[in-house]
Amino acid sequence: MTDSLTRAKKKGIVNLLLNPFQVIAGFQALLIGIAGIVIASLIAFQAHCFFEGIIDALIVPKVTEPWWIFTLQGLINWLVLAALIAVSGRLVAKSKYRLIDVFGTQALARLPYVLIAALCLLPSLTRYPEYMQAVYAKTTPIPAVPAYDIYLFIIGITIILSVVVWAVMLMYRAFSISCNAKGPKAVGYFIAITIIGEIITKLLYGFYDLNLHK
Amino acid sequence: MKIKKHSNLPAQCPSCGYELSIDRLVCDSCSTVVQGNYSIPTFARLSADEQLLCINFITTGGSLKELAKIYGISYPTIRNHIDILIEKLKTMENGEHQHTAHGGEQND
Repeated sequence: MTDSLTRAKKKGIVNLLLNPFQVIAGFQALLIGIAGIVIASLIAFQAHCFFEGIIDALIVPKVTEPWWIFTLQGLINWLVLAALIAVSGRLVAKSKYRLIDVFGTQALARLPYVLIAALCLLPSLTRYPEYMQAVYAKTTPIPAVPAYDIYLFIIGITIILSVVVWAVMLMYRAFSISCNAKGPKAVGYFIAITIIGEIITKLLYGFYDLNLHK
Repeated sequence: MKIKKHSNLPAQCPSCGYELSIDRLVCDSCSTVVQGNYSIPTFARLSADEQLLCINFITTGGSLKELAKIYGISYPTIRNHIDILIEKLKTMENGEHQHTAHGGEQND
């Protein structure tokens, strides 16, 4: 225990990126997290990128909806997972936990989506799939794309997937720290709760007609 | 207030791992020697950092917020460390009760 207590004091950049919740939680995490969700949504609006689930990211060619729809999606994705953990975390938590820590750390865990939204601004990420779709569907005219588009597309998607993995890892660590839950039981619980959250968000977006890429 | 930690009293034999006991106590003032067989108290069997955590916990009046500020970590992190310490203390106390029970049976 003493080694981890000492390690927790180290505020190096790597520790902050992989597990910021050892030093940031509660109201501070909530403020930073919500700011990140709003910023990510504004960038996503420009990038035509929808976060239609707890870990989803979807780019569409055109949008007509206002910016606040994107912010609403970001807030819903955060609130659904945090609420599920807050309500059922006692099944795996080793002690009592504060709701402000659950909601705050889950909000902070969504900061990588700012990076994902920014990456979605890459034109190649929409241009190249449109090109491939036109080629396979044999529609005319086939859009002209630069030769380097495929490389930028592959690099962009690889980076986005890596960032999504990082975000999911942060969500798990946020849950682990805020609820003091560890081990295989905690991992299994988190996977189950994430799947349930995905189902809930999909139902919500479908029911309230927020499924915008029809 | 942060209290400095002192050197750690070994509680287990470095050779075989068995529990150590205190055989001799000496007065620094008058050199009086007290000899007997005393078991090391539960608190003294904690590591230096764990003892410091307990002392800091008491001196902050049990405020985990204050304790988190002292260590520069978040509230849930310090709470988790306290939970680990509580489990360790319970395990040590249970071990002592079993040791006392077995010792009583032998004396009978």
